[in-house]
Amino acid sequence: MKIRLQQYIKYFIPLLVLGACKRNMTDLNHNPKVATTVQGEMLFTNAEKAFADVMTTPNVNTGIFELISQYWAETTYPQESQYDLGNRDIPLNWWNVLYRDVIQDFNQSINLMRQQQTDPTLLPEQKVAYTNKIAIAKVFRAYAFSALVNTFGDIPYTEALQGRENTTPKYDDQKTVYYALLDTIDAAIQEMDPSGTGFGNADLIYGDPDLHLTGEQQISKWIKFANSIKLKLGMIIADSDPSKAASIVEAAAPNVFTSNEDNALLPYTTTPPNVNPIWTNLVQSGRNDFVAANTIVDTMNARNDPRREFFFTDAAGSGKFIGGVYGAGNAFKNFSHPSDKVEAADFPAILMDYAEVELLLAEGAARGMNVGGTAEEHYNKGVTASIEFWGGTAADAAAYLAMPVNKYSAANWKKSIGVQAWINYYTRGFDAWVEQRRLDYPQLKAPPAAVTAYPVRYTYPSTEENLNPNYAEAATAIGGDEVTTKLFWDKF
Amino acid sequence: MRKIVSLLTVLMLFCASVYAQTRTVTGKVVDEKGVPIPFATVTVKGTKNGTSADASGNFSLDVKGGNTLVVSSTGFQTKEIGIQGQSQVNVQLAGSANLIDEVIVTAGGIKARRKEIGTANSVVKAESLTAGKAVNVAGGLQGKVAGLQINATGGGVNPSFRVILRGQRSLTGNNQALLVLDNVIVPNEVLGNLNPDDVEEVVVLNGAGAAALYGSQASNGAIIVTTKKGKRGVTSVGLSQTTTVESVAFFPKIQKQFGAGGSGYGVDVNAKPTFSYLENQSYGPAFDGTMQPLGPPLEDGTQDSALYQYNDGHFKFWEKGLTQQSDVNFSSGDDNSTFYMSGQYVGVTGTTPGDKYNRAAFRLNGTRKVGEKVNITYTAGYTQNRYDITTQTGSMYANMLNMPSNGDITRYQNWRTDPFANPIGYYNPWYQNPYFTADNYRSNQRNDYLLGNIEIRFMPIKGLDLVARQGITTRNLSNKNTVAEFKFTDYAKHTDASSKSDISGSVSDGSSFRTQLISDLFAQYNTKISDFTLSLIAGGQWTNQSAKDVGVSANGLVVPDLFNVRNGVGTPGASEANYKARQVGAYGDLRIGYKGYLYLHGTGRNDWVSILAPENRSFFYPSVDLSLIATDAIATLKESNTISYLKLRGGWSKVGQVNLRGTYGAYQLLPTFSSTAYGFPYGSLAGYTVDNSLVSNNLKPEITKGYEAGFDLNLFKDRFTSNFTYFDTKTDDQTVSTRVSSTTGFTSLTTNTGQTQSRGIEATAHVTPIRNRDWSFTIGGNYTYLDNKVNSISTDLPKLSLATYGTDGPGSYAVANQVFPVIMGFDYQRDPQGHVIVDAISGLPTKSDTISILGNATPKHRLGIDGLLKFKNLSFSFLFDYRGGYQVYNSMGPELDWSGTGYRTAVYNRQRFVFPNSVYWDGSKYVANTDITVKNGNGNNGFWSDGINRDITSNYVTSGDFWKLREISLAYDFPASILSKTKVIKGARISVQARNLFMWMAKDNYYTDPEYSDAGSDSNGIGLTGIGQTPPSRYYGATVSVKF
Repeated sequence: MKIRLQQYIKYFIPLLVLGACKRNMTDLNHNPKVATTVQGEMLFTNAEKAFADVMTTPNVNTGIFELISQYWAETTYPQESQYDLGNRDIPLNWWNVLYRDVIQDFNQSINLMRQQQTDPTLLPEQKVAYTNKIAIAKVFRAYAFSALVNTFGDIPYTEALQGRENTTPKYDDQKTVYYALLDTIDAAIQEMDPSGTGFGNADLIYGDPDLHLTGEQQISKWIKFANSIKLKLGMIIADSDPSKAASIVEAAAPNVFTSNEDNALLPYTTTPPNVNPIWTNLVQSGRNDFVAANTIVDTMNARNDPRREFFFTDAAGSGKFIGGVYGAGNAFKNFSHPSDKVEAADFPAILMDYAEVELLLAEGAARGMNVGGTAEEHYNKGVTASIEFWGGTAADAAAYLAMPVNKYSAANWKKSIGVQAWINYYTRGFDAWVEQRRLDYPQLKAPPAAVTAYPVRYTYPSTEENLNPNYAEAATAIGGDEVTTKLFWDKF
Repeated sequence: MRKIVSLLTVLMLFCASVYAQTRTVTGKVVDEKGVPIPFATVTVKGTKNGTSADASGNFSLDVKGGNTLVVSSTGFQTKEIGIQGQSQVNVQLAGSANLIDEVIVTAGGIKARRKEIGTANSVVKAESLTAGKAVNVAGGLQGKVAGLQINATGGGVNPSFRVILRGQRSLTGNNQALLVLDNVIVPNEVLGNLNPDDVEEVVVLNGAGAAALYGSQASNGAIIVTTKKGKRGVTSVGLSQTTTVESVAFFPKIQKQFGAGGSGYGVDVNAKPTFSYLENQSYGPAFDGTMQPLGPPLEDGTQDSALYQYNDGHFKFWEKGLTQQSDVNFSSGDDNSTFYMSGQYVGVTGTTPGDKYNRAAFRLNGTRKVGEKVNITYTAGYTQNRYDITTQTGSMYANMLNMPSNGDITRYQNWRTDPFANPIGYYNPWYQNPYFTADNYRSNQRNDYLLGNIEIRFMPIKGLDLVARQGITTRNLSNKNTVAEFKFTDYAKHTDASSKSDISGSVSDGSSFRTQLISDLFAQYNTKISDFTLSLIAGGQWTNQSAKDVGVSANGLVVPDLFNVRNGVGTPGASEANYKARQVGAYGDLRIGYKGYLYLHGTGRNDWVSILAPENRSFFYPSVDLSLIATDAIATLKESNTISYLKLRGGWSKVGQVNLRGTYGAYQLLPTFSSTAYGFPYGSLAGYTVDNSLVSNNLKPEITKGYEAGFDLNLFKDRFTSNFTYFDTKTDDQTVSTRVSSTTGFTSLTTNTGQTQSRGIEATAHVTPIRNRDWSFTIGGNYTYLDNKVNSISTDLPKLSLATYGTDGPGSYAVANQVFPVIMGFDYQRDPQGHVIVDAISGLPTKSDTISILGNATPKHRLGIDGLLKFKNLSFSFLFDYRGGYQVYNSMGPELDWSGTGYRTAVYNRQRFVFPNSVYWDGSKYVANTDITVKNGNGNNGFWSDGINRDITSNYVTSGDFWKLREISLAYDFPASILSKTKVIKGARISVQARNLFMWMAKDNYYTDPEYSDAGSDSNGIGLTGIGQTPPSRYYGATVSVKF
């Protein structure tokens, strides 16, 4: 019996030798239905779209800048107009999208494209294209980072985006970060080669097939866009560091946008999912949460502004433009609403436009910087470009500028330029918020029911307090994690 | 279904006619004291002819071609009786040496005598399992086993259950007990798709002892379900029909004094809030019985109205559900083979208007002996279920609560024909008619399960068994969710404060499969060497899992109500995911017995899993346990008249379990890119984003180590039975997905960190004070004490959210050094003594800045009390279930208070009141507040609907304690003496039974069943109930069953 048993065991045991299975197991754990490798360009495209979406969305959880800038008022739930940032974790959602979806993807796209560029089979012109693509991604990444600095102040920069290598990045001083971004943009502009091509169609802005631009023309547009960004970011430090601001602005000025043809617009389509986030939140959602705010409507009414009909509907068919009380609850049906134009599914995201550039140049001139031309000339060009962009005519613009109230006032240039920039920035609440804090015009007041004073920054996201031990030091460094703590460039 | 029944009837009649020519023997099977032994098997020796006795021990058998009956029953010695010429015979069976010698199926399908087992186990027999006629096997197990906590986590037509043994071990991974059906591991959802009448017995292995033979999933304990097989020599056909009525057993407590309106509309001359004919919030003036308008006039000028008085529509909204359960089974067997087949159809209508469910199940089980050395066993079950339910239970419920009780809610049912009920004319501009919500948002789901296994047992030489087993579980499901388009008139959209806007139609279709193949191959060798017995098992197990999900969807339909994705507007949504995982295990199991009273048992297993990195893929885990039958080992105890049985036992085990997220935990290690977050593809242009999850490069299994010790003690010749177990386990290397700052570029990091602990007591005791010819009465119960806690998470992660309302919001959390889990949320700002601080002017409290711990969500004490009273052919049984020592957050509370129907909102009659137990700051110290009243004691712009009430989690954290009359049943078995006259019917029973007939909850719980879990049955984030669960139900019904 013993012998027979051993025989059985002899046959049985080999079945338990399992080494052979191991190789199969490793192959098995690769997901066949998701991408595990991608091209850097695909990440760039996503980041560009994510950036345009988040800058444009009026979603009450992420982008309440249309409210903060008092373009819109709310109907039933005016909490966000009253600066209740915490209830919906608004700073967190804004912060997350920028770091996790925008900057992370730009960053990884740059890393991947650098690797792709080393491919020995590339043609020389393909290598040049990669240099251009990487430079463009760097400018965009810096622009996105600047939005974080301009919202929060100190932010993780040098230690950010390192994944599991560093899960608690330290915060860097806001001014240091900001100057590093300016340097990055400068360097990237130098790297751009207008004789080469770039992303082609993978760039949703200038690669838009409807623009019919050649690869080289696209790079030329990008050089203008990069310089316009440089102009804008340089002007932001005009109060805190006038001489550095002057040198940046003066260097950028000759190379910026020269017409509405240059505008950096990200087109949307008429059907989901690649639609204008304003349409998603106002039309598709079926919600009636927003009406025009009295702040801007009253201003535009006083100036007989021809852009009103492009911004808003008339109130309840009255033929008049009436804004709801900012910061209070308003009956939807009684007031002007965002216009069909801006609510259209294919209304583009405006990342930067010529009007804004001209108004910045006007400011440069007003501040005595050498930008060529007078402040008034640039001002008039800016206002005209804005009216024309929104749908008005040159005649409309001329009539508008002829009104005394709309004329450039050298004595009060901050008001002249600030109010026009504000009107021009409609649908771009974040940009309006930055300029408002800088120029202090228009003078936006906190509504009576506001939970805080007018916010001059966002508080850090609640998660930073919980997850990043460097939070406390950063909060102290900027002078307290409050919405009333001014950023380094906000001197007045 | 009907066809099969008639087929079986024909078959049955045919059988009957064959036997009708022979003589009939009737009799009764009793034990040594004359107490009937139910369901004993009676066969004619040497033939295939046999029957089983009824619940009272009576049998009736047509005897042909033999003169000797063989009578057997579990727990008794088999007896043979000669029956020359007799037609009446009473059979007395002697008890086996001990009841505890009973053989049960343990891990791996290995049969073991209970006395050999050194770890805690419980057996639930078919009779007990189906006493309450629960449709779901899990429902039938509730309250019956110490250490086993089964929660019905929701209401609805087929409630989900969460099945936990000995508390939760894994912070975020799977904690549910392993389910084994006929020796094959199956997914937990099978419990709800199994015909309870097919179950022979359920063995519950409370600890991790089964892990060696089943693999690491058994670290959560195991529930081993064995289905019925045919019996040798017994051919029978059973039919039964159960009708059960379901009605709501507990409604949220609501106020009955105030109707629509609120102080937001101003106040009248008497400073009373103003009535509003539009308002959803019940903060208006007190009811006065006058006729009042509801909503604006319709376009045709008519206007809805109702008496301004209390109307109990909130309760009448829920309907009476009806469950029809039809069963048929056939079983047969001879010396070489047995056969069992069954069919069941369950049709359910629920308490939610319009919700329906049905389930059809078929089973085919058999055994076959081939020669002397080969035994073949096969089981196959096929179940299909169909849901037709609303997708918007929560919204429907909220919409219903937001109907003030001055309207008669049930009047709005016919929204298609009644202009006031139609969404266009419905009076409320902000909240939908709940009947419309239920009808307009629908889900149809179909699930088909095939569960089967084949086992070949080859016994080449005495003592050696070679066993090969192949099991398959496969589920195919498809579902279709639809939203019907609804267009409002311009008038409806723009009249008064209307926020009515068109509802665009949409449709989504999904289909999936899940298949699990498990192969077992093992050898078992038993031998005896002088005083020692030896049982050795060595084997291997291969598990293959694969799954696929495909979904398509369209938003906006070209042709309304044509629910085809092809009919959608724009680019349809589409998704596909595939999963595969494999696990290989090699195991050994050795049991050494000494003189039949001392057993040492050790196991070891090594697993290789595909879902971990190669260097962490292989892990080993051992266990050891010891059992001593003191009553056999010690002479003085053996002689004792008091102590009939005493077993001492103890065990130690270590088990590793891999807990990764997602289906099977597959593909979690590699970073991936996704393309849908920002709407890509954009035309034909690709866009990808880096996924947001980071994974540690060294993920390992979670390791549970623990021991248990206990005893089984029976007294007075087993009239008193009991057992007691103490257990203590710790689980290390928790696989936790912690959140990380998004400045890393990611938002989560999966890593191994933290420890949980679970310790407690499980005790069961039953006493049979009366047992004689006519009467028997057994009463007893089971008690569980559980101390389940989180010892640590990680140094930089003091708390981990398990299920929350909003990021970092109120919810269920794991917190270091606290009960696992705890409820956290907002509280009022309090002074150091705990008094609520109110403002010295407004009298209003303020919300705490951060969330704090407000309660523990795991019941510390659980108690089941069961009784069985038998008188002749009548039997009466009951089961009470108690849970205590825990809290629950009722997230429906804020909705109730928002709507103004909440009971709390009227406790001060809507007057200004002094906030109870409050203090205010007088400039230098806190002073007790006796006279500063809150500035507005109403809602709708006042205290109750404001955030200062609704956002305070602690307002809605209540005791979770409850008593439930879980089951009660009264059954009558027709005596064999009557049945034998029919020549055909061998057994007949009628019964009435009820489940969850009464529930008694803590006084402060105005809301719902604390057994519910808003986080669903798969989440460890327990302690939260919500509006997504319909009010708890009671079930009562009657059954007729006949056996031929």
